[in-house]
Amino acid sequence: MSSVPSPILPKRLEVLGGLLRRLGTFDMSTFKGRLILQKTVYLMQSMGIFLGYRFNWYVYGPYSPELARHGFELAQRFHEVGPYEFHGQAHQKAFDRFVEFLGNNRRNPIWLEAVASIHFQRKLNTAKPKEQILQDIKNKQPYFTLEICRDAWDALERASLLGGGSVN
Amino acid sequence: LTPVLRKGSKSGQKRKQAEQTSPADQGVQVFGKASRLGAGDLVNSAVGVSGEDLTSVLLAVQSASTEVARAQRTYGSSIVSQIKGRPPRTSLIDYPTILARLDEVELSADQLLEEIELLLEMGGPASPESPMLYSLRIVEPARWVWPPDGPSASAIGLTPGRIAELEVGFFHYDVLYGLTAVERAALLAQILATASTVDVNVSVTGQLPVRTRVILKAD
Repeated sequence: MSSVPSPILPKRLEVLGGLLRRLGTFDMSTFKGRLILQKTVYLMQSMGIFLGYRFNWYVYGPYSPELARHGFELAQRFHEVGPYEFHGQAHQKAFDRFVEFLGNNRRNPIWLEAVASIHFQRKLNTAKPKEQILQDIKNKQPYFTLEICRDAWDALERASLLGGGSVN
Repeated sequence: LTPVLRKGSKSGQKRKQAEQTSPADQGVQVFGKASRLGAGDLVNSAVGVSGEDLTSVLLAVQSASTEVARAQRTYGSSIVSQIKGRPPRTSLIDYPTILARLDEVELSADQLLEEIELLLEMGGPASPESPMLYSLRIVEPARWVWPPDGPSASAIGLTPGRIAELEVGFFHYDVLYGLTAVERAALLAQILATASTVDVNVSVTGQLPVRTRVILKAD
């Protein structure tokens, strides 16, 4: 049974799609693209742009089944979505900070996975020592090195994302 | 349950014997030296336990009995439970504004509608982990009345109680979540057109609720 798509794009998909349009990284056709979507939205929410996705811990780090579903829905209608413009300066600043945080890594799945995984693990257990987290994350994937993990940790620390609360 | 003691049964005889020599009846100290609750004696009979540790345990026991006795005096036979206060979690949300824990914000009606819709689509009552828009209340004008233009409150098909709330500018979550996006947009646009200040209340599982006063500005 095929479902008829709603004529109006839900607001959440409109905002999600509009922000991904601005980032220019949306691609659901490959595993790499889907991984980038998951980690990008996870990190964006961690930096104050909250779209209501809840993340669990999976093999490749934080993952939201709902976001995966929305990603596929959005892929069908991405052509309808224009770049999303925030209505407040504070929102725009938060998004600018996020874009700055990503830097040249917005299409780098390894960096995104390492950063999101460290952030998630740190949030899960704030008492766990840094070296233990780095070692655990390094051991998680064969393509992670301690150097990648340290860089990821430093990036999170520079953005003040390793302490305090979080919204994910 | 009363145990049945069979005449001549070995276990029955033992049980009977045990009952006859019940320490409680004869004043025998059940736990030997420890029953005197003296830290020094306990240290002498304990292996590898420091006197300080034992003393602290005894003091804790003593203070717990005092506390229980005091609670019983105060609350009669009711059970006293203790709930630890949960400190409010730091919010890092900048967007949407109505989740940012700002006391007061200025938004246009369209911006508020967009944020409300975004929040409602995050899940609501069916998804306990998601933030839930609990209520909207029109604060200004103070004597707000349902706008004469457009459908009346009773046209939404709610109970008389809910209709009465709507007519004075209070929107409970079941009204907001019960409508389709199109119905909601039409209803809220009609309402907000005549309002100037709105209180938005959001409940968030495990955190303090978020209450934001929204001053509606012209587009």
